Amino acid sequence: MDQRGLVERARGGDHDAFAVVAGAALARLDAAARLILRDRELARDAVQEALIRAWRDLPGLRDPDRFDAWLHRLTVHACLDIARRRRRRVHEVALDPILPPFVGDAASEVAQRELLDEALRRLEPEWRAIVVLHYFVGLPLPDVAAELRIPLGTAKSRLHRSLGVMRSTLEAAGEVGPATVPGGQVA
Amino acid sequence: MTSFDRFERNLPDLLEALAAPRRPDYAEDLFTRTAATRQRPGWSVPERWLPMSVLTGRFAAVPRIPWRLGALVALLVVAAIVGLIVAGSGFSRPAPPFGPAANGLIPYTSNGDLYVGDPKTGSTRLLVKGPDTAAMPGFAPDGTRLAFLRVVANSAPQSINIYVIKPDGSDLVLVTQTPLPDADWKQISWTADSRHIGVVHSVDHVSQLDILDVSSTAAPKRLTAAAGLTAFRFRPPGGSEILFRGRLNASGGTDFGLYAMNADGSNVRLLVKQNAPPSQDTLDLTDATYTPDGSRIFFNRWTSTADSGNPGCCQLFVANADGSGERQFVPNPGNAWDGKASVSPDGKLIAFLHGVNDEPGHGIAVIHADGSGKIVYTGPDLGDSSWVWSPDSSRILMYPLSASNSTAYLLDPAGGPYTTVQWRGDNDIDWQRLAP
Repeated sequence: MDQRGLVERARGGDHDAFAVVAGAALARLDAAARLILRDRELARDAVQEALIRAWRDLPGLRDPDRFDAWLHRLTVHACLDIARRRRRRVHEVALDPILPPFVGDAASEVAQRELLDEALRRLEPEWRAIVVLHYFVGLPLPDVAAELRIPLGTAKSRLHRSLGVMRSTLEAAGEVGPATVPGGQVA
Repeated sequence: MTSFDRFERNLPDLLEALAAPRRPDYAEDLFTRTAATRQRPGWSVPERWLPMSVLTGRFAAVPRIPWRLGALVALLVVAAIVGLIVAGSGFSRPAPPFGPAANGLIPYTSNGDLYVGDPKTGSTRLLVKGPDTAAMPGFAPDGTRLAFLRVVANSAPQSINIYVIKPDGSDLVLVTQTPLPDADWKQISWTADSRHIGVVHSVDHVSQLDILDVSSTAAPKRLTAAAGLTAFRFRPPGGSEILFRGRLNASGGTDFGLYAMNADGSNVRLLVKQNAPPSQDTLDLTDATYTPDGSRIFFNRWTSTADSGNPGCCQLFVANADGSGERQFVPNPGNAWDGKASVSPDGKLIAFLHGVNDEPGHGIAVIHADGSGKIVYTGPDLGDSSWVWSPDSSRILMYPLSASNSTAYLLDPAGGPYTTVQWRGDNDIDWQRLAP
């Protein structure tokens, strides 16, 4: 049975069908939540909150083909709810390392991931959500703006500034070279 | 390519490596919890919720006043006696279906039970107790009865029935002759004569509009001319026309325009054509609503021009009731999201969602109904929310569409301080109309 059929069955109360379609998305939902919240336990809470709500409210989903997008939306909003409830600034949060075990060339890959992790932590959760929705989930920026109910221009400016913050973090560690400006001068 | 460009281009892979998606170890525990969670009826979910707002139907004919003076005097005497009885019993005169009215009770559900609350005193009254889940309460336009939906116990697939009840909890009546599958609902709303309820639901995979008589066992009347619709409104003040979105086309698909037809289903005509491409048509022309005088229609619009959406959804548009004169209602350069207009019962103000480029979120935006003057923001910024005007136009009742916030807010359209209702409900977005 295709996904649409499973979603329709889940919408009608078939929990086994729900476990199949939601289970297929679970890895990426959990990954997106970890990227936004930078905390494994908080990410678990967010995903659980999102999926419980998804099952509970699934009869209200009008278009079964939008199930995956809807799940991502619920997860992102759960992440932001949790982040707001915690009311902590990014640099004050003592977070457990959440880097996964690595395979391959150890030193450089770990170092790069650690730097990216640090770069993300410098962003507010709402800004991280924009980066994650656009670059990890793959939503076009207008869709990101619609998901977060912010103006498109705001999403664009926050994304640009987020990349700047991240880039400067990696640049400071020598992982990214300085930007160049027209005319060949180094910024 | 600059280093920055290379960084941005590699960012998806970097994030993928950092996150390393894998099935989390809490998966089994999570699905055990979801399995133990009860699904809500479809109409009680905010995304499917549409208020039991006023639609219109034909008014009952007014009986001719007798010429004979004696009969006239007798009628006046009878009316005076009835008036005294009514006043003495505390029963309110029915409200008019449109325009300004007095504020009455606010219906709400909590843990599947149905209540009404008085925002003036804070007192609440339980009308219907479970175990069957009640949801989506809405008052008739004349304020004399309250309709709500109820899950049919042990139904599979889950089904619902429509009931009506008086605000004092008496006279509970089952309206639906046959339960409806919960997954098939799209909209339910009263008609202006307060004697019928319009229902949009799926029949053999096609949306149909059925008009149910709440006081008789007559079969529902199906307006097949609107087959394929997603939403509908009756046109004030007389209810002689129905506005609806979406219509079945010859190849079995749906054309998402705004259409109008006579209340009997005749004379269907296209008012506003769909703008959005098929992949983005789910939001184009949504939230269509009339002004209380029936002269104009507000609706969400997908746009393709760079200065209003860039392209995308949505902007707030307005048109004459015949579809002419379509224009963007509020200029909003910088591609911010506008929409979800609601007109105050006195016709003077519009409450809507108004995004501003490069600014944080605001509360609900309010502006004069002709678009003049400045936009006033009111209420807290709670993200996605739903709202309805008080019958006297003095307040906006707002409910955030958040799983973690069940507070209902009372907002000042002029932007003054807001308060909250004194109870916690599931979806408190209707308000009883009383005679002014």
